Amino acid sequence: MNSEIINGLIEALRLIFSGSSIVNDIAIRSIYISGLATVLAVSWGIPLAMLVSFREFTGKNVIKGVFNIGLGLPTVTLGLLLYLLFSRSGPLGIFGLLYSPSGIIMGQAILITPIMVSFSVSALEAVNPDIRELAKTLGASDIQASVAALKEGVKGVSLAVAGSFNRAVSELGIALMIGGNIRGLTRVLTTTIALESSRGEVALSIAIAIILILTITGVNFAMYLVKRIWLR
Amino acid sequence: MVALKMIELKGVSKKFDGIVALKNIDLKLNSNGVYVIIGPSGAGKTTLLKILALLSKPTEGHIYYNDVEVDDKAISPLRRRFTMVFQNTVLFNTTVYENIAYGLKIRNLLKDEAVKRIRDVMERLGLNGLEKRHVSKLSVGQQQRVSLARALVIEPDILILDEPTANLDPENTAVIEEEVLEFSKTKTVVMSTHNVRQTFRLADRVAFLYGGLLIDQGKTSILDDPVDERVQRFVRGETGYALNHG
Repeated sequence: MNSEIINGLIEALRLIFSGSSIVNDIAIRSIYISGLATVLAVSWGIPLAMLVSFREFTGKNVIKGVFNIGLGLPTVTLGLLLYLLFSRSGPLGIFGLLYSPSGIIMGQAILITPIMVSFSVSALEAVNPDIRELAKTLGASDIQASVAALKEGVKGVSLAVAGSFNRAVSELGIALMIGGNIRGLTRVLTTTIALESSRGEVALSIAIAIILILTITGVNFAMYLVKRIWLR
Repeated sequence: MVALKMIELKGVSKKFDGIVALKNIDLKLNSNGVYVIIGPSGAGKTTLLKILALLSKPTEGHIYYNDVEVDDKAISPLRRRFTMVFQNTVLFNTTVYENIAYGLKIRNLLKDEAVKRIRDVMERLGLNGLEKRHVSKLSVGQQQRVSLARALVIEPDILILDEPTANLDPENTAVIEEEVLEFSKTKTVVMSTHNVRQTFRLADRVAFLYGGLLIDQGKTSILDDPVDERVQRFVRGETGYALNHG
């Protein structure tokens, strides 16, 4: 086993430094799919988190509870549900999402929405509630005041974004069940690891796993730099 | 644009979860100068100021600015005509300069004019050289001066101050009082305090609040020779902090 790990590390270095086009394509596809899923989840998750954090309404705690429960949603369960919805005979079959990158993007976006909302709500509720009143008394509209509060909670919200991307890029169930692991179309890093290890290509699996970790590290570092610039 | 001069509250009450914070307040402020809302802690001063600043809606009653009743549509444009400084200093998590510039950015003021105003107000409040400093690195007094600078820089028609010198040393208190008096020469200041001596130093008119009720209002003489027993006890320092701060 030790030799397989060492071989895996050597193979990883070889694949990284040789610029293997297949591995590059898979890595870029993974970032593209999970990146878009994160953008989608941000686009509806953060406004929803702002609404839940800054407004008082009936059922607020129920909504928070539902998203908190969603944090532990098994990817295969969601994958199965989406498979039934996206399959040709399913209610969303006409959109042709099954075995397509768009299907994985939608699935991952739904999967990570609870992370985006719950972590963002937690970060925004920790912001001094007087910040919104302060912004308003300096002339801000309701939306501008909420943006001011969002800026105060940006560290926590950016953690929610990073956590959501990490969950999306490292999940397997949806990519496998909705994407189908089709070479050159829906094959991503996690499905490649599953495929190669089932074939007995342990070294290659380890190599891809290392590339996955490096990808996550690289994207998170880029997010960190963006956050630094935002907070400057 | 006509300057805001007249504020009137008619029959204003405010309840929080069934607890009465203000009861049937009638108050009229209609000229330049410093209006002081005085009373012990828990009297409802902050609630009253937040209603005047249109940050909180009364449970009952009506608010008029320049004789026009404030409705939901009027709140947002009216808020740009005045500003409030909170008792517990609230600052954006950024530099001194960015804090002071916030209200000007909201108003899309031209950069040259904004820079000129910020420099001017920072000089007046002794904040020169602190432009790039993060607000968390400031003393309490400096933080409150930044709050006041941020309010003054937008040149509001009415300045609302909630116990602006509470917890400040005499030096910072003097700087803030000087600015309040300067501002009140041409515009209106409404401020709350529980400090009788400060009220005598600053106030043109006084309203005494106790347990959510407006007990008395008029010139500072209402504190010199109080008629109401609650005012007498407060001035003597029996029911609050009246004489504890200089």
